[in-house]
Amino acid sequence: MILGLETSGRSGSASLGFPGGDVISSFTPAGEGSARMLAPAVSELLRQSKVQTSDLRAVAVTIGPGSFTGLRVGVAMAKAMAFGLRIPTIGVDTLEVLAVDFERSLQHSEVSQRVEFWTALDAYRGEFFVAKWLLSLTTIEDSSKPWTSVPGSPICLFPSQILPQKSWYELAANDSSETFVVGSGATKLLANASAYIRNFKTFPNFAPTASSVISLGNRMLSEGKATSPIDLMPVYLRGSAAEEKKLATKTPP
Amino acid sequence: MRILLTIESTCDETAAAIITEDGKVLADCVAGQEELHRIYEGVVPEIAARAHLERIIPVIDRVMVDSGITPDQLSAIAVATQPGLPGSLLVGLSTAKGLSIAWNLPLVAVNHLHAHVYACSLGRSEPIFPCVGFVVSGGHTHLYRCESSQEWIPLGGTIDDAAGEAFDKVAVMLGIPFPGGPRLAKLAESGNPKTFQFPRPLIDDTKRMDFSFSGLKTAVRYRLVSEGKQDFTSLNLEPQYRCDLAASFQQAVVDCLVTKAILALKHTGCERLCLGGGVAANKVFRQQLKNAVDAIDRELVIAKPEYCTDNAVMGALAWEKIRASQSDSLDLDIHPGLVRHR
Repeated sequence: MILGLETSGRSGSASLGFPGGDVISSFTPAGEGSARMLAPAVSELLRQSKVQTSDLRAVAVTIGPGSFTGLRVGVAMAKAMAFGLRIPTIGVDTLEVLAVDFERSLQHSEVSQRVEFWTALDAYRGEFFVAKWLLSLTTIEDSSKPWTSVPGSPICLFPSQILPQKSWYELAANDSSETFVVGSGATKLLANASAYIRNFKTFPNFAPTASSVISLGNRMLSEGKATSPIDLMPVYLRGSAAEEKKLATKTPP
Repeated sequence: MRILLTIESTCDETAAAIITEDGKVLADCVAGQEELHRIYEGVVPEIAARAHLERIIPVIDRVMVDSGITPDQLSAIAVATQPGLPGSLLVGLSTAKGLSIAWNLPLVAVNHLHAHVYACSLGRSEPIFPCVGFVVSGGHTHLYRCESSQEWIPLGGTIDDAAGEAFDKVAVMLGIPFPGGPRLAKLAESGNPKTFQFPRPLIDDTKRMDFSFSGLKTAVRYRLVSEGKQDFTSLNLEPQYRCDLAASFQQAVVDCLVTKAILALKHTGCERLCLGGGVAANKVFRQQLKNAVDAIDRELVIAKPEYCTDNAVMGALAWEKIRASQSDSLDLDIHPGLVRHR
């Protein structure tokens, strides 16, 4: 059994994943900070399902990108619980969680062959956290990339990065077909896109969930990609404002 | 014998301690971050929060290993939840909550400022309450009337910079790297405190037990550079001038601190003044406060030096709540700001 935590955005969630594949979830109330309500949500999940903390095998958590403070709340909880229970942690990429959430929303018939899509979160100050994924229900043969796609796992085409809006437009202009963008950053990201990208579709109502953190966590655990709680750290993809300013003043014009 | 784990992460020190109910410290660890903030000449909140998250589990692991205490021997987890930097407080609180769930232990919130005063009781057999509590540090300058460990009535505090903050900022003007307060005090030892007449804001207002150090800091700046200028790097100051300036500045701060502390003792009628916080390490301040308190025949208690700067041992204050059968629920929140009572 594993515990999943997701606190990268405005509202958080916690999930318990049972060995048979069942998942139960609890969401922190909208408008309440996950800092305050994440622990009660976890405690309530354990109580409701009559699970002992000693039954937990690992704690999976989104490590970014996302709100710096939000990520720290989830990662601090995950570290402390895993350290306390002497179990490993699993750090999962927020944009990959989002990709799994999107995939799970699709009817199988919609993914006839292959779907490429971006996941995007607003990083503010004109920048976005973006990643690109490929979904397929069938095995893909490609001489340059001889991977096979397992149904239920997005393949990463472009790992999570922070990009200025325009840089992403230049990248997405090369998309082979219609550009799909999933996540709360989608609408703002595409606000000025018409000069670069002709065909696009946004899916802004997707937010990463702890339930998908469980899916990814289980997969990574089986692949041996667990981390010790001491080593688990957020992937911020951006320095503090003070560091950025210091770097900017050092760079010659 | 009940045993407590305490966690402190209000500003830029990550700390944990293991303390028995009778006040014995079984383990104590403080991880500082001065080197991370030095080039910014002050604590950068985001950098502090990131560093806390890296250090907090190793620090807790250290005190568990050093004390030889196993989780099942613990009775509660105490954590400082106010006041402080929000990002820093959240790391400590979220960690405490995670451990509370993992080890099925009650959570106890600690007020960091109350804990600084409570540090005066550590290693002392007689009780400190009732007393006037005085916290003077890099982040705080506050006076309390403390009837008991549970009753804290704010008497006054700084309306702008903290005393230690003013020391650090003036130190930067003299080219001393952050946090330069202690080195500024060292310079002052060789200076004449009467060389420069700096303002002592609010000192004559006998109705207020408040402090203001921002104007004093500005007065020092104008002594060094002309109005509106901020660049101190090209100053070529005589060594004696630096010492005299440091001594004169320090004396102005100490005069304000001592005057208001005496006012608080007189106002409350308390027999005892309990001083905590990093600036309590300042020798001139300690000596002049001692003289002034002696002169009105009251008692001065100063926390041990190792418990003046931020630490988790002062979280022993939580025992007072535990003994009163108080604990906090998992929806506990942080309170970064100071609650001012006017």
